[in-house]
Amino acid sequence: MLEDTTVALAQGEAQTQEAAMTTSPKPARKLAIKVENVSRTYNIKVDKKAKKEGKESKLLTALGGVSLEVEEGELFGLLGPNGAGKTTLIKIMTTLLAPSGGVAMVDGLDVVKEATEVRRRINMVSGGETSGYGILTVRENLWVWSQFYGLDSKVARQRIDELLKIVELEDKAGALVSGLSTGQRQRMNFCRGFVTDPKVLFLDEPTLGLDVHAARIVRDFTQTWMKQNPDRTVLLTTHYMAEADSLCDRIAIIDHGAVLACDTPSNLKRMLQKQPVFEIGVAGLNGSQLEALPRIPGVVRVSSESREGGSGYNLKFIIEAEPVIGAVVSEITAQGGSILSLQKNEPTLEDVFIKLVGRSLSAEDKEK
Amino acid sequence: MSAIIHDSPKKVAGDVAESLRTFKVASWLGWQIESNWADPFAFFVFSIMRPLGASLILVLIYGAVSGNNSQPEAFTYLYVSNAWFTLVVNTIVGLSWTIIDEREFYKMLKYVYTSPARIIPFLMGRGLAKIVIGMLTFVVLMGIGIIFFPMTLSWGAVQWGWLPLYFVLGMIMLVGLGLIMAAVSLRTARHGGSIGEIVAGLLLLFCGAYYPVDVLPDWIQKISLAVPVTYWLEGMRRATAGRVLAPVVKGHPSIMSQIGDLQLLSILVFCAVASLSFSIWFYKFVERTAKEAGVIDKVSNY
Amino acid sequence: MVEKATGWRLFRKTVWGRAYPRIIGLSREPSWLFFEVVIPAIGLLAYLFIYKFLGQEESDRTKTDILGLVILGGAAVTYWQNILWMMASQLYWDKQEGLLELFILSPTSLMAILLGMSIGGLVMATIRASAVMIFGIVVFSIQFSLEGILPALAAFLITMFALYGLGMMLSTVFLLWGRAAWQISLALTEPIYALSGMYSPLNALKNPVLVAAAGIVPISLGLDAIRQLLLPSLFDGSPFSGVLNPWLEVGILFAAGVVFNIAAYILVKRVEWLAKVKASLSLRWQ
Repeated sequence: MLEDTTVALAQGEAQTQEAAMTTSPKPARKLAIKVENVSRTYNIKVDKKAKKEGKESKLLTALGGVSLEVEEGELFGLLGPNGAGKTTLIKIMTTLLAPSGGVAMVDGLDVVKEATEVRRRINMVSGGETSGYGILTVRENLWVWSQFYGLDSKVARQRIDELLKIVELEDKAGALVSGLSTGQRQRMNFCRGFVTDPKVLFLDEPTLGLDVHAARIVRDFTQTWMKQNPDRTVLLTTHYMAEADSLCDRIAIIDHGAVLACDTPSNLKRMLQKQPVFEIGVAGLNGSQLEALPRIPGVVRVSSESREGGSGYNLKFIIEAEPVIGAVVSEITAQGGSILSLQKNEPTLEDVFIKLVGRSLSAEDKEK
Repeated sequence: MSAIIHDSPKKVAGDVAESLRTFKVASWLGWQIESNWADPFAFFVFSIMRPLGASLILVLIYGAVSGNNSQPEAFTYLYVSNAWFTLVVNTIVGLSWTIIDEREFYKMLKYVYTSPARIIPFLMGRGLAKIVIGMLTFVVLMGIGIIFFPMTLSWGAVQWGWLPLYFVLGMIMLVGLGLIMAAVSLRTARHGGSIGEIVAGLLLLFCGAYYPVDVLPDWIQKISLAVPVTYWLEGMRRATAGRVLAPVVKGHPSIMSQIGDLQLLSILVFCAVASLSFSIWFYKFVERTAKEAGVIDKVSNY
Repeated sequence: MVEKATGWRLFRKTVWGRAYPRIIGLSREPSWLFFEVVIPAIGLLAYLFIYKFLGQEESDRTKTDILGLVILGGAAVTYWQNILWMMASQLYWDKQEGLLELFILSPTSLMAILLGMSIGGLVMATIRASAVMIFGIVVFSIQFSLEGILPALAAFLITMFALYGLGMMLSTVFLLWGRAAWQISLALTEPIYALSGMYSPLNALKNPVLVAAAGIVPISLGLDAIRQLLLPSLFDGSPFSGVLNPWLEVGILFAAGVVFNIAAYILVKRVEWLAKVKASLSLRWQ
């Protein structure tokens, strides 16, 4: 229920952090999205010069045989640079575009043959969306869209009011859309995605153009909504790595129309760095005690450097598995040392992206 | 006492070069926007369809009422006036619509304003494509009219001396009017069409485009005689036909027939100078108020 | 999941949902009264003065009848502009704004969207056209035949059935034509005014082939029928006459309306499929 969601949102932060620490896989569920060898090509018209040379048309491959599976209840991320094929793939899954080959199923329904049924179960919100009827109020705009999905007007109005409260737009409910700022419009469009209570929701860069506070509301609400409705699925595309890392259960990285990797954020990072790395700030240990640390079972390598002001050492441990850190901490404290700080170092999602795609998203923007 | 800063000749030359560059680039841009959606032939056909349609309305009205009682002189008046009037519409709309287009559709007006580009040369350049299309349209309309319809014109009667003079003065005057409409557009929301189209529609009633002003009630005649376009159309009709068209209306000499060529020229010179000077001042004034109100980049979204 | 209507209930909800912005918009922006009624009505006077210049204003009665002819034409212009800008080009503009994608994404049919657009557009245009007519009747003392009002209303309804069927058909076709659609709409404005007899009687075309071609646009025959019914003294053969018997014209319009509406339905399905295959449906600037 949306009222429960409002209350749960206040507790969302703690729950989010707890969830992020958990790495155990969810039990296998029904597939919400199944994409099997989907391809999409375009015939590009050539100019007169090329035509004279005998070239009739060019074939552009936007997607070249993509396969993915998204389980019900997953918040699945799709990352990729501009032109990778993300939008093409989303358009196919949302019945806006027919694939040239392969099969795409959403909630067990073929997106081509059973398009109308698919549409009843999905919705989409695109980032930076300024669409809407300027002459209507926020509430009226959302009501109009609810009618296209067949919602009862009374139910729709109730859901609209609740959603507007969650995204902190309730004071603008009666304002004309033409008077809204970009961020307010985006929040309104975000509500449009949820008002129809979709089984599968496609969020295409939903926090684009939102300020930090509004973006946080959107992310928190998405997570809480999914927790409250475990049979709902979200497919998210984003350029914000931190967003993908914190929100998504699994991520697919796509480039040049192909999926390069698909796994949980932790596993993707582990691809680059198989063994956990911890940095520990310690005080109260002498040279011989430090030399004993590499001999702790499970420790692969230790490096140390003096902390500023000579107040101790910063030790970098590479260990075989995470539980080994417990033994390390125990040994340090047993030797009389005190732990000043403890931090796990792992590659970021951006590191994974660069490794797979060959360039970062920000570098791509700079090149342009 | 504050210092008086005089622009150095070098700065003035730089400003002129900047304005010319802006005009040149804006002209290219205007042409691309007008024409790049179709091949040249299709573009040309579509460009003349509206004015051709407007001419056809007049031909059909004439056809409906003339029956066996043809009035070739009246028809010539109607047709020639309408052909020149397309230039009035294209010039005024060409400049005023640019503001709407750039602000509402392309959302680039704010970037033009934040760049070193000069706005008035930009507007003139952007509108140039429509003006050129208007000129080509006139040529096509006259060609069709002369070939297919009973007009009382001849090549020998054209006043080749007066024609370019009236034409240049008229274009200066019309560009001024277009700039005034562009200024008004800066402070108004988009309402279906543009303010330029609305004014062009009203001008149709007042300026003797379809009939001598004598046909109008007295109080409307006074308005007509205060509208500069009335005199320009008279000048273009005279220069095209080599005489005053419809010199007699309901048994009396028409008002325009009583204005000599030199007198007409003086009026047009005054209108051209006044129109351009006032329009530049007016545009700057309205622009200042628009900046104060923060509406330079405000989209109507209606 | 929240319960959602399907079938006819969904169709009905969509029609109302899509018509709503157009109907409510009139009360939100009252400036249309000035820009789209008063100004055009004043502009219509120009056509009256053309008739006067050509010697047609013989008596006060003829003068008001001719003004009636012109005002009815002006009201018809409102509907044609609505068809061109709020129907034919509308889906293209919706595509530019990103709304079309959202329509297609929803489980409702595009036909329901088009019907909602039509009904909303018809209400908008009727309010505007009525305002033009009232302005003409009050300010210029135009008198229409009282006996002709109800028959003219019937002729008007049949004309709208055909006209908006054409509008729905055009909107699907223009969707695929892309940016050229806007240019085509603009180019067709005055030629249709001319050929449809908006400012002159339809029989001024004098050529049966041209009249038949003009008849493709329902406004032509509809306006001719309504003028004959409301201005019988002007259309008694001197100086003007109708092209066909008004009821024959209404019959033709009804048949045309059936054809246009069926064609619109077929085209909606076809265009939706073609657009998905060609991928031009949701690409802006195309």
